Amino acid sequence: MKRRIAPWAALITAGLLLTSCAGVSLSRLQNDFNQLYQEKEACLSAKPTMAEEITNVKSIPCTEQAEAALFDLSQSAKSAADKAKDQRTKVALLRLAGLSLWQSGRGAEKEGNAFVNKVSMEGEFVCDVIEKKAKKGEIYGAPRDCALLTILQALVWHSEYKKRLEKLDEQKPSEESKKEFESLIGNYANNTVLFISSREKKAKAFTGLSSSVKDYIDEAKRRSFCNFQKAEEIALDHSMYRDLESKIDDQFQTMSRKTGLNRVDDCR
Amino acid sequence: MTGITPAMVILAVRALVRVGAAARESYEQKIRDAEILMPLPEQIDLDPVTHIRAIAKDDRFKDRFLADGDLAPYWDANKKAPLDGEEAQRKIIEAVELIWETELATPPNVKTMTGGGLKGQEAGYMILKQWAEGAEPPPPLARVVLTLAEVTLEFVGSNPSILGMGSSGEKLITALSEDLRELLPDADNPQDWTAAEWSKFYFVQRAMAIFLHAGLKTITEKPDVIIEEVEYRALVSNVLTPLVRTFEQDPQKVPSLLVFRDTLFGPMASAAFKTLAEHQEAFFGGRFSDSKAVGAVTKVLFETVAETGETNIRNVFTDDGLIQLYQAVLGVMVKRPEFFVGRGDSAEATLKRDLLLNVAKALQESPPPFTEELAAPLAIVALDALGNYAATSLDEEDAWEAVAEESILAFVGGLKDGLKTGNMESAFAKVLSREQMVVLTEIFFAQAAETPGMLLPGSDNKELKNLVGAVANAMATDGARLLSGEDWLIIAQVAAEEAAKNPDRLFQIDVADPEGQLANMLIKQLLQGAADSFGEEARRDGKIMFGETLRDVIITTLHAAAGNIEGATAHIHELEALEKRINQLASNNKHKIGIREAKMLFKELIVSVIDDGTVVVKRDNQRLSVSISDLTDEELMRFLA
Repeated sequence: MKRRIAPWAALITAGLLLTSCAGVSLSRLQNDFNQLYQEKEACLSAKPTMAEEITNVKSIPCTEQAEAALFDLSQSAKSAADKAKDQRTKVALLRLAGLSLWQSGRGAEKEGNAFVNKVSMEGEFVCDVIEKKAKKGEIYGAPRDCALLTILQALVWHSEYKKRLEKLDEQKPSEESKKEFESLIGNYANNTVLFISSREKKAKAFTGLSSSVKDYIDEAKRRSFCNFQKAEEIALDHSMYRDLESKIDDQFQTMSRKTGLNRVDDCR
Repeated sequence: MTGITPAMVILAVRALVRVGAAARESYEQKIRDAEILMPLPEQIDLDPVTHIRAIAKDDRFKDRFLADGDLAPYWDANKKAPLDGEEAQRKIIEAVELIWETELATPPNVKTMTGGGLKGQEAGYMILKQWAEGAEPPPPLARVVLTLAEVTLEFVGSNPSILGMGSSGEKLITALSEDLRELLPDADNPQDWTAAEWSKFYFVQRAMAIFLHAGLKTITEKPDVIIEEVEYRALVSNVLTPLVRTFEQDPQKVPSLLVFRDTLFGPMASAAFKTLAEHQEAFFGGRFSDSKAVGAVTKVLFETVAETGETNIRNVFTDDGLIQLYQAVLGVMVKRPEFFVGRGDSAEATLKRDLLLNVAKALQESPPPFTEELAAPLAIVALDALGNYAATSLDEEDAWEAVAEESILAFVGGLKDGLKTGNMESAFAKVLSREQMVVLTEIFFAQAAETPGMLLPGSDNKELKNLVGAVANAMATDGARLLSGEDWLIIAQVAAEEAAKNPDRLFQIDVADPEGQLANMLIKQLLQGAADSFGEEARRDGKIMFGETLRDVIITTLHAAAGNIEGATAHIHELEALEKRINQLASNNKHKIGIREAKMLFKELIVSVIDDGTVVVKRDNQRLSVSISDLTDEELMRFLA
């Protein structure tokens, strides 16, 4: 299989390498993220070209290129965060690092997961310090970035579970896959919906937080909750998994009880 | 804005400057607080039956799907799906749609998504703001302070004491921030700002930065000058405030004011600061304590520059020229501030508002080369000279600016009259360099200003006009280039002096045609004579009637003719003949007659020639009056002995 690399990915990667050496600009990294995110979305919605279909010569999927560049971006942002003198800028860069890692699709890998945990914990620690000063009126903090860091891990786990659910839906059921499915059902709520729910109060309490971020948290929680219906679909579609339906119902009840979300009302 | 005092601004600026990098880092806040794109967790595509199942499992509706429920006949409890068959599916779908329509409220997430992210939500992301409305740091004033700090930082490196306690820098910034209250909208309510107020804010921010830069530059260049805060405040309110007021009062002038701000305001502010530093006593002593005049002049300049009428001042003057012109007006103001401020309180009342515009209008008519680059120097020379004139010859009530306009009009009119025929304009432009053109202008205006009665308010200054026209016309006829530019300047100086000393003689007041002026006729006749006798072999032939010799011959003639204009008029051809004869003598006796001898001889004989067209010589022990053509070489040489 021949490979060709999209020029934009090469350019951004080169830019990131330079950036990491020459002092990082939050503005520049944020712009790079926006561009890569949009490229990735465009890749996901693009159909194969006619040439690819006829010749069976596939380019490297551009999604992968964008994700690779997003991974590089996450490292650059983290590196910049380590050097940042202003704690609020540090938090903004950590938010960007975590966000990029999430969008790179490597959050569930061992290293990626460790990275997200590190970024989140470091961010939360700094945010606590900032928030104390902000509450006293000594400084203006970074409420949006702190709030997002507070729920970042749930976003990463959600993406990973979504991938696994889609894979389970496609593959032939087996004992092994059933075990995997069971494990997913047992962890999904805690790592996504309930994680957000448990941190929601703290996240929404950052001084001066915009309503748009509060909406975002609500929407992230809602989507995580509703997407769990896919587990029910899979369980009912495959006789081998049918006995897992009750466990899924239990999880839904727990999530509903703790979050107030309801499948009928909130997942239309 | 009541919460912010000038002291706070200076403290903020000083603090930011002191930490240096902190000022720059503060800009990070702007970047940090910018809106961001935030991806949402992706939604998974679900089978439509999943939504039906959700209703079938919901406590509110599940009974309808159980044993005795109305939907039980159509529901497969084992598969958790509608039974096979069209009717069953239709019944279930209709029932679910009815529930959605009648029994469920709008999903709460849709109802409450008011943060602006709803549109992006459909695309898989939301745009997130850092701050809730009203919770963000007040940006406008902070930005101005940061801008001032950034400007100040430029100077701190070379002059660390610029922001010291009681320093000039501190006074300037305090004065500037005092005016913030007047210039900016209420910074405490930025959400109430209209679009116009925001554009004004950005305009003020940039203008203040430019103004501060100019002020600190002056302070750095003149560290010994001590200017008090009250003086800075006066300057701020007189230079910066009028600019902002013009900006907000006339939207049509905004585009030209923006250009003005970015190109001219900096140099103009520098000029104002420099004038302030160099003429403190004039500005702030006694009756001139409020520096109204700077404001008056500045306001006139703003209004003139922003003028978009028939005469666009920026088409007449170059940017540099306009600044120099402004400086010249300030110069006049320093000499006679009362001409600007007047006796009353209103500064503008005494300054003719369209001074610069009228000057521009006059210069628009000016023939080449007094256009574009030379237009401003011409006006500046005129204003400088008139400043001196005003200081000595005008009363406070006299409209000096009218004299300035009228004299420029006279100068331009004289040039036009003098150069109206053929290709005289281009011939004239070749005689003098640009610098020499300016000197020529200075000669005329300086002489006119020094001569009582030559410039009078309300007159059309005919003397000046005739002088300029006659000299320019004569210069343009020197096609053979027998005289250099320097020679011509010296001749012009003499002509101007003679005109001043002997009114209505060499340059007659009521003779409008420059070629009808005696001085003009004399010069041209002598030029003609020199050109005729010069010939192709001129240099090898030892002829000398060009350059210094010719220049002195002309000057001697002008001096002499001023004392006997009737004789000079009657014997103009004899004068030419004398010139030619001396030239011939030099040619015939090149080892004996040089420049010095030729000049001496002309000087010796001119009075006699002017008197009756002849020269008295001794022949056979008798004194005889003989015509020039009858003079022998020996007789002429005898005059030198």
